[in-house]
Amino acid sequence: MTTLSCRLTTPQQCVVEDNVDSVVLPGVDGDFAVMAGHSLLFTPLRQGVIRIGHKSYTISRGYAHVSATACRIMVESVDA
Amino acid sequence: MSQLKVLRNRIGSVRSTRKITSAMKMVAAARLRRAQNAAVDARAHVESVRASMRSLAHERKSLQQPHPLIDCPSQGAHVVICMTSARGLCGSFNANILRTAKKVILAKGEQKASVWVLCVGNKGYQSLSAMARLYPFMAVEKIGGDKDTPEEASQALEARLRDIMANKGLGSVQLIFAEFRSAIAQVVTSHVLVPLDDGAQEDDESVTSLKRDGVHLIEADEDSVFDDFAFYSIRRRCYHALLETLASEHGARMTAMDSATRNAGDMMSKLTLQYNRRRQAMITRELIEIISGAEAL
Repeated sequence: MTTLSCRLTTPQQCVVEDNVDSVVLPGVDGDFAVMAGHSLLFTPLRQGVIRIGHKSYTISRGYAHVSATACRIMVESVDA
Repeated sequence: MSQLKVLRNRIGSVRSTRKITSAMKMVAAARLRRAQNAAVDARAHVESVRASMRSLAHERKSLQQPHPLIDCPSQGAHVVICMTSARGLCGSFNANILRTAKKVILAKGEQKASVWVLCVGNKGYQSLSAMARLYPFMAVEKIGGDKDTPEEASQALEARLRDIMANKGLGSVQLIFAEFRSAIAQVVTSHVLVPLDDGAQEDDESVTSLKRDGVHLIEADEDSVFDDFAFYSIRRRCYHALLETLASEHGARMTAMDSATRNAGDMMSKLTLQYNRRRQAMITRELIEIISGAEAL
């Protein structure tokens, strides 16, 4: 199974950079999951919990940019 | 005797100068480490933001959806953001940044554009406001106080840019700052922030994936998301540039203070040599006087 290269960053640092099977994101219209092969998507994120692989992170608002192979998550702050 | 005293005083003053410069070097070294980590750690985020912005803007342009930050009105304000340090004593650091800034400003001025210069850091403001007296096409203003954190300064910059955009429209925004390479190498860098799709080349990863995978699905209200993210990307790029400039400043100051300390050391040894020669000459002369006095008896 192909994986998704996922990068979670805050303005201060890179929190996670990993290849994972799926990522669950808190979109403005509700939570959703992305996997490899997803169509291009850009969305603002609300405050909530992100799940990258098996780990969870609480984030403040931010943005996510998803493509078929990569997922860039840009948020203001993260609590592990 | 008086000559010796003069020399002794000079040696004393050079010694205290050396103490000051070496203390400043140590302070700069300590601050450098912190600023360097902050700047390097922050690079990942700004890269992500930049790549996303570029592909979104490129897509918008190729779909021919006009946006004031992509198809910029040429009669709008051309903004140059110049980041320097607030204080001097860091060698040619500010002079290098200002040289590039002046070149950019003059090039824009030749195209009969009105240039708005936003300065972060007192040194740039002083020099560029003096330049503005000679060139009527440019207006210079200072953003934020010298004690502002990068976060505060980048917020102030974003607010000012929104202001200018609402009043006059933005023709272009160019950012000039010092990129941190190492403690002894800072590279003056110039980035185009507006038009937003600047630097989107055909072979770019973000652009080729666009061709392959089709257009972005943007959740929520497309235009407002795009606008918000555009200004978010500008603010974050300014924020990161400020971190880089801060690290570069401490690096430049450390190098400058290091060579000042070394120069003071050289000067001290030269003066000490001179002092000892004089003293020896005086002793010899006095001895000769005593001996010839004794012989005369």
